[in-house]
Amino acid sequence: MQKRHQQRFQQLQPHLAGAQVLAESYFRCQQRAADVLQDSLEAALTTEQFPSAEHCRAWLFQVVRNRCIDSLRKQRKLSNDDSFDFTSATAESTATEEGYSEVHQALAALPFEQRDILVLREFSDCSYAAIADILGVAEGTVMSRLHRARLALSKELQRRMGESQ
Amino acid sequence: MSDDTYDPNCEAIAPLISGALDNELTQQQHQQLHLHLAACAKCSKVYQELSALRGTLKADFTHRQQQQLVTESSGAQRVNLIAWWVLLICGLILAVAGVVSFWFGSDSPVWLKVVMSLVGFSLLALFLNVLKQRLQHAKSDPYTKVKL
Repeated sequence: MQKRHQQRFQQLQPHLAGAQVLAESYFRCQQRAADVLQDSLEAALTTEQFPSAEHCRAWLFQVVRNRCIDSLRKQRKLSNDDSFDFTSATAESTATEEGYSEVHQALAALPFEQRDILVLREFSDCSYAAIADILGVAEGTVMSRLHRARLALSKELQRRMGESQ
Repeated sequence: MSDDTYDPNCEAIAPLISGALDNELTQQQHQQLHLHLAACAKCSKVYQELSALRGTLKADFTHRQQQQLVTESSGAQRVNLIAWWVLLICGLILAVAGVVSFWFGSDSPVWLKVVMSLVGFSLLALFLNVLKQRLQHAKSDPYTKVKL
């Protein structure tokens, strides 16, 4: 059993940094992201449906993403915010924006769907095929969605730069 | 980029700009984009802007990673370690001074001193026992070097 865990861990280890970045994009809190990643890793080491080596990265990111979304949903439920629409929500903890760069603040201001795909591509360095796997969409959709997200980010950055001048 | 209205041809080609930046295009798509960019100043501008945006994002990400490394650097860890040791030593000195003054400097009856000392030793034994278990667990934990 321990040998199996170690084998799986060796497969997952190169992707942990990318998964941490992905989790941080949801919470903007290193500690909380590390907690979710720890949970995901535990699940990954013990699950019966562990993927093959080439799908390992996309699978781990998918697990981390789902757990992050679950965690955020639970948090909203606890705070009795029934009107919360997850798909259009911007990153939480806007109060802690001071420590973040202009680019990160602009990214956080984007709708969830756009921020999600940008983080997967730009920071977690996923291929279109992997992103399609993680998000459960067609590869062609990834390209057009990503393009819209980039245009939106560029627009948001320009708006912020215009405001600050 | 300030103008959101594309003509139909631009609209169909536009996503390929992102595909080209990510190196995810087929040769045919590459050619299609290349021909379009040569003829369309607006899409060329979008291409340049998005290319610059990618550079900004990467630079920002690298900068953030470096900041995290500085925070987690060995210097910061050393300061933490020294602070813990100072706290531990001061705590021990205070505990010994407390026991000595309780036994030799207070007017409490002997039975109370004995009972209080037994309570203190029991708590210490429990603490040491838990500490021993934790240390044994840490030694045999295969994921102890996992860095998230």
